Amino acid sequence: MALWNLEFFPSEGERSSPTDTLKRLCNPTEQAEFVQKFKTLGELEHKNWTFKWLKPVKGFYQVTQGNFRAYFHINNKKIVILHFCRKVTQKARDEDINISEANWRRYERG
Amino acid sequence: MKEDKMRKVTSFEEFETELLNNSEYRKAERRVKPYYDLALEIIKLRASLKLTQKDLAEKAGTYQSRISKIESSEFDIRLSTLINIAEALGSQVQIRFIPTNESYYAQKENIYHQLFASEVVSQAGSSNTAWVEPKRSISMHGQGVA
Repeated sequence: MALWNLEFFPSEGERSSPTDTLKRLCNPTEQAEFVQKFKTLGELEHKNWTFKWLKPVKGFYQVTQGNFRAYFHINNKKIVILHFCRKVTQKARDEDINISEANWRRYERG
Repeated sequence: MKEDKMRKVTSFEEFETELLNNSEYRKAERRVKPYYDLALEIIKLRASLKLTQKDLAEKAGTYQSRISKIESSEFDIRLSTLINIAEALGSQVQIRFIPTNESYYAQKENIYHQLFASEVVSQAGSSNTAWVEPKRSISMHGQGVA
């Protein structure tokens, strides 16, 4: 039984949809790695999130898999995956954080 | 629920179900998932025993950095190390090979094609075919752990 409810925002087909990017850019192994990483997070208490592939970045969490990154935010036992992108630089790009922030604001507005 | 619909979120389950329709994805999942299942099993047991990664490493005769890598699914663990970790967690390892889900998906695809080949336009909700997912195995069994 998962502790966290996982969802993607914006939804499929919308501008900057993380699912669209994940399907378009990643091969099946990378997709499976991302899916398993999020499912693992979804089953654990927040205090047990001690993974090498996870780090907090400017108010969001960043999940890394190979040359790709996903950004998410947590709220009320929900993990909202907001942005998915190719890793261009070692450090998280402001552009990607800005997209995550914009998507989070849209999500909160409802 | 109503709020979620307004926001047009895509649920994780929905997305995963879509990916699972691809045989290449299923093959990749079979190779990747055991590493995450193992990590989850170790983390849950370690947390229930209130052990740190360092505590567990000491009890299992290994390094904290190795426990960290195993828990991050980034280490191809040796069976002997796995047995030591299980012992340190008051558990034992149980190995089980289970059939893959491919026959389930082949059956599903076959019926899907048959439906279209016969040009039968079915009414929504008229199908009474129930799909039962095969069970998945658990890799480690705790003893005396909540």
